[in-house]
Amino acid sequence: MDRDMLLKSLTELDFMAVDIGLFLDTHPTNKDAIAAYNKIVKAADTVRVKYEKIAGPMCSFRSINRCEDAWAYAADPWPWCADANYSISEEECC
Amino acid sequence: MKQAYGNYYKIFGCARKKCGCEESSACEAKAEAAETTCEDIKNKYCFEAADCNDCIIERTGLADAYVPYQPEFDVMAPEKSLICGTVFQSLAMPYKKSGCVQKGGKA
Repeated sequence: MDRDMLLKSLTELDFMAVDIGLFLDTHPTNKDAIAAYNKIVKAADTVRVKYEKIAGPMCSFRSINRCEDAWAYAADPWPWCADANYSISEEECC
Repeated sequence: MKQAYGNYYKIFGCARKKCGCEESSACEAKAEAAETTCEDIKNKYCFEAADCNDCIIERTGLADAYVPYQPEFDVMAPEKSLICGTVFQSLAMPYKKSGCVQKGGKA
């Protein structure tokens, strides 16, 4: 997958983890939800590592700085920049 | 607007039908400036939203919200979840212009 596809996948998986986490707040013993949550978090972590190898660190305190002689995070698109986010503006829920 | 509030008062029997005009000493001046009568102004503006809100509080008191317990764990595909703003099929309620918001992603 290229950078954009990885970012799309990571955005989707992180969103799912947040939403299922909210579900678990009110359904803390739902085994299906716990299994799905763990599966999605693992998948998101895998995609995040792949993305960061291609595009640099996503986070200033949790990501590995692979470049040994420069702080890569500052050179990446900032979180509020369009390049750092996957857009769903043209998509419809149907 | 007046008709809508009028129906509400009829259903709930609220006694509050006052408007600012009735209590204002400037009513006559307003009516004169608008080239109409004070009674006409009362008829037009006696059903202000604030009065309706007061009426509801008077009749029912302040309400508690109740959200039904979500019974199903019905997860959609990742892409559709992000687009719909929810992982759950039963909570996907896309807004369609000039239509109704319907559950289950169907409109």
